[in-house]
Amino acid sequence: MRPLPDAQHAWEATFRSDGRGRLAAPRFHRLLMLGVRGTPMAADAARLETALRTLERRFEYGPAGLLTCLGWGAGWFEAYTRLPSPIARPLPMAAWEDPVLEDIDACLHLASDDEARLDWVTEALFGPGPLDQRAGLSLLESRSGFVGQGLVAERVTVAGIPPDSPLLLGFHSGLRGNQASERDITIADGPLAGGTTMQVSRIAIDVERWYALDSERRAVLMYSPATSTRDAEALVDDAPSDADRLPALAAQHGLVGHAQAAGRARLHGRPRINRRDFATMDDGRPGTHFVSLQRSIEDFNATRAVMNAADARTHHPQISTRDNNGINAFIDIRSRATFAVPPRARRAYPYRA
Amino acid sequence: MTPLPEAQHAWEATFRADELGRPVAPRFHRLLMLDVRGAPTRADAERLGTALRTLEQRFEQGAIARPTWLTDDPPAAHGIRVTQDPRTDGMLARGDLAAALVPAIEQPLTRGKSFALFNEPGEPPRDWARVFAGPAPDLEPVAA
Repeated sequence: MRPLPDAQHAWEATFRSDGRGRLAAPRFHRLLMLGVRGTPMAADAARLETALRTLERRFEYGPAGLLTCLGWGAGWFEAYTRLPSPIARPLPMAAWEDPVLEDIDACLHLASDDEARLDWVTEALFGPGPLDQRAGLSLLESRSGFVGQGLVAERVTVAGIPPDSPLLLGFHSGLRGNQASERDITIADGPLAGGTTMQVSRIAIDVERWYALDSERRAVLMYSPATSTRDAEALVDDAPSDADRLPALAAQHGLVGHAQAAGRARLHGRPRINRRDFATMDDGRPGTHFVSLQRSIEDFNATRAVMNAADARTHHPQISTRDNNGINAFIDIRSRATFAVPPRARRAYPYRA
Repeated sequence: MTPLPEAQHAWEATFRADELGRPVAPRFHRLLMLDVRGAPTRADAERLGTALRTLEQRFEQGAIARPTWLTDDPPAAHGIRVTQDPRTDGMLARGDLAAALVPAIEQPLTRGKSFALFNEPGEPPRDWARVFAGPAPDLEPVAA
């Protein structure tokens, strides 16, 4: 077995690309939300690390096998370690957002192209057997989803979803230039050196109203007023989307694009967050589990705040905080949580006191 | 700082007027109910007077700068927008906030003004006097 990357979040070297060179994320995902039971001991940490290593030996590292990424919440650090939490707790990020601000000890992100494998791994870790973690961890909730061409149209029964749509809103999010690199989101020093931070939101999406719009309207709301459907389909490397022309284009068109607004958060042209989001039909409702990785939770907050394009309404009266303002009118943030992702060597109950 | 009225209750000359010329009271209020502790000395009176004068100096003449979501971006990596839109949102590098606060303290143009700052694509300001000339004073002259 080849040595695995030091960083738990180093997934992308294993991704295949689609026919146009765009990275294709694993097709199936689980977010296992975990609570710590009692006071974790060295034996609990050894049991967890052994189980994760067993899975790594058993399954190839990548979408064809299994990818894992285990993060720990502020509550873990405050209750069970002597470190101050290295991450900020979640916050509402718009006046119209009212998410449940979750306090979850840990989140294990599992991903694979084989959906049944994720079921098996979940049962192996939280059911009877040699990998069972229930002595130290409770499985509070399992959130599931999918990403990739064909899956959304197959699993979400809403008229108008393009058959090749990789995500719920019908566009690709994983363009190389639209994503912070794994290197850029890796923390350089301090207790989380070599790790990163993770933000997890549950977003309900009004797909019926979205797909009631024609495709040109969807393209301009997703990217920018100057982006056509054909332009959007041709995007491979990046979608800069006229971020530097927002005031002028908003004044001219009475509309702001989502990528255009979020693009204003870039530093020297580089995005701040690495998206690991996926579509879901959990609870029977279409939505997104928006997982983002970033060097600091501040990078998520900055990107999310800039996405509000709060100043856009000062450029044109038809633009409000949600109407004609990117995808803001179509999303409803139900919950948010934040986690610290240690490097692989420290992933099991990190910094346990 | 112009001398303040001798009467503590002389507030109304500072009220702005609505569109019909009616004075508009401040929007938010607090009544702090206080008990005296022990036997007040001259030092207690001086401490209280100093604190109240400090507040008068700070809020009548000063500027209130509201940052948006702070980042560790290097200073001068973005443009900076100054706005009085109360619903402003966005991000702001700590270094840019610091770069704005120094001239905000020094510039007479900022006195009595509240404003928010956020980064946007572009070059950082070179002429802060011009930037701070934009926001209007928080209190408008009372209609005659």
